Amino acid sequence: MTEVGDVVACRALRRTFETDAVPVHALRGVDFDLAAGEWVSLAGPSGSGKSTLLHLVGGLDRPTGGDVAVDGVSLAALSNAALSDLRLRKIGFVFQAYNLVPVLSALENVEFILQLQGVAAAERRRRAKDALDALGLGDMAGRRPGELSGGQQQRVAIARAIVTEPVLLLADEPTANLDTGTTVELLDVLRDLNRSRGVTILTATHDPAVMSYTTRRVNLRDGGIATE
Amino acid sequence: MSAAAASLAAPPLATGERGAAGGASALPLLTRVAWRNLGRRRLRTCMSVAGIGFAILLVSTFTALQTGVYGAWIDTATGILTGHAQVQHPDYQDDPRMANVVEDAAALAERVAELPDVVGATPRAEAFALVSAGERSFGALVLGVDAAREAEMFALPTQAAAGEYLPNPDSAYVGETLAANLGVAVGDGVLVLGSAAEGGLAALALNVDGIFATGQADLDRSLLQVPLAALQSAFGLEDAAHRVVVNTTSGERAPSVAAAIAPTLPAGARLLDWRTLMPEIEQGIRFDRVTADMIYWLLMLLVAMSVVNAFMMTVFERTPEFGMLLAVGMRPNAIVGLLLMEGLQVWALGAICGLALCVVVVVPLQIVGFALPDNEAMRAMNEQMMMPERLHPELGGKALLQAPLVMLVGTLFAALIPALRVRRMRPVEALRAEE
Repeated sequence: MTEVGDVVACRALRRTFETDAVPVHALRGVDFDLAAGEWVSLAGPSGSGKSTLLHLVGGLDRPTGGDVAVDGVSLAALSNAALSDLRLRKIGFVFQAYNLVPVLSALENVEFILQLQGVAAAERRRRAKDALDALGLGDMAGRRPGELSGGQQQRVAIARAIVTEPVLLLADEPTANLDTGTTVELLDVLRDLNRSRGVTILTATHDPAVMSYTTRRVNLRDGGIATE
Repeated sequence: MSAAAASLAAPPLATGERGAAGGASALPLLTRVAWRNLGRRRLRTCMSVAGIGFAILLVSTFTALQTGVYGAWIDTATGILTGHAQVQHPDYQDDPRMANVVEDAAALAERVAELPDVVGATPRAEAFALVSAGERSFGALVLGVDAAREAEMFALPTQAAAGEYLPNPDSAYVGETLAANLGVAVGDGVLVLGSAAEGGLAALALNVDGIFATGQADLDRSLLQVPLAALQSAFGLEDAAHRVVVNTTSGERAPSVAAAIAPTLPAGARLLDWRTLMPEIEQGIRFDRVTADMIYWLLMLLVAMSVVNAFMMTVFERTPEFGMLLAVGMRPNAIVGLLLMEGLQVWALGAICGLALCVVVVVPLQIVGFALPDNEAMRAMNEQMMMPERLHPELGGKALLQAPLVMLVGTLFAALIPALRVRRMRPVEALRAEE
């Protein structure tokens, strides 16, 4: 049963990958809701379907069956261009491998997403600086990704993800490449965003440390939800 | 029912509200990112720039050289006798009868000479006649000319090997070989016999006052010039002539100038430019141009293919990055635009380098010219092709624009082919490419 204020609603969500040998059923009819202000971790072994679910929620992939709604918008009906718009305006992404534009500085990487939205130059510069300041990177705004540590790069990626004030932040194994100390720092940042700003977060992770921070944990196994 | 659940049947998001994800205001960003991306694989960028620059240098330099050679070729060939254009009776070119004349030729020449871009015009009458001296007789082309104007407009009057150019009303200016065949020298007399305009016998007694040597075997063997008035009188032409020969500011401009002159001509006269008068020159230029163009296109195609390869590698290497850009909401067309911008910048660098080197190479040669090798084979070729001793390349609009514009299209096309792969990318698959 879904609640009023759900940011994500998945119904009978299926995703099958056709291979040369046999079809791989990554998701087998998942029903899943995410309420505003929640921080949910999708946990499970490799191949359980957690990244697939994250990608479908983020509109990066199309389901074989069922549907996903994000902030009241059904993704199934969206064209690729509209899906692209939805990702730009409503969803923030944090990836395992940081995935920053290597030729842009930290500030430009954050500003870049605002420019894609058509935000005026002065405003986007101010908002990008504020986002970096909020994540403790104000004095590193001019550095390019190659001049930042892994943890710093991931914080820039989070700044880029939240600067547009999305309704949903998706993080795919955000701590996989970080050491323990940096992982804790990063999780503190995400918790702060979740608690103080009310950012709704969905994280796919293997990391028990991440699961310990989230408000809810959803365990997936063999393409279905095993426990919540 | 929750808002999200209810929204499963909600209408799709409107796409019109998008800002700059692929729009014009993203251009400065694309330009900046593209420029910096060129520095990511500097060797590859340098190779592409060098290829484009080399192609432009080579094609522009040789096009300038060709333009200069063609210009010199036209001017030299037309400068001996033919001129850049001629006014003739409409039938004379195909049927050179004595009766196919242009009336009041001297007045017409004066009028044409006053027109814009015309540097001179002179009437000529001509007859194919028997030239005799003593016991010897040879057929020759006898040209009646206005000596003063001919001397201003053509090289033949300056090519006297002996004597001078038509100083008297009964002078003859004879080709060196013809003079030798007739056994005459300066001061000797010759008799010209031919058919007059009305059909009777025309006879003209002349003194050989000059003997010319052009190096052109045909001219030296069979040409004889006489004063126009003498030929008109002897052959019953009155004030008519067979040609009004026109020189324009340059041979290459002659066709356009001739086209402008043509409507001003009286009925019973038409204007032909050197392309019709000397088709062998036109054909030679066309053949040379086609041959060279094939080599140029091949060279530019090879360079474009190397650029395709460079961009293929770029797209392959940056697939995860493109996946990330697609994931955060950048549209595929904007990424294609980014790659095209990179192609445009690579082209711009190559074009600047290529054209700069071309200017450095060509401009000094344009000013001082360069001599063709002095050997027997080259002399024979020069004689046949009527080439000047020194050649001056011409760095005109064609040389400066043609190769860069072709390479621009080629480079953008080379960037577009791999870039279009981005349009088919699915973000999730592109992101996985790094795994």
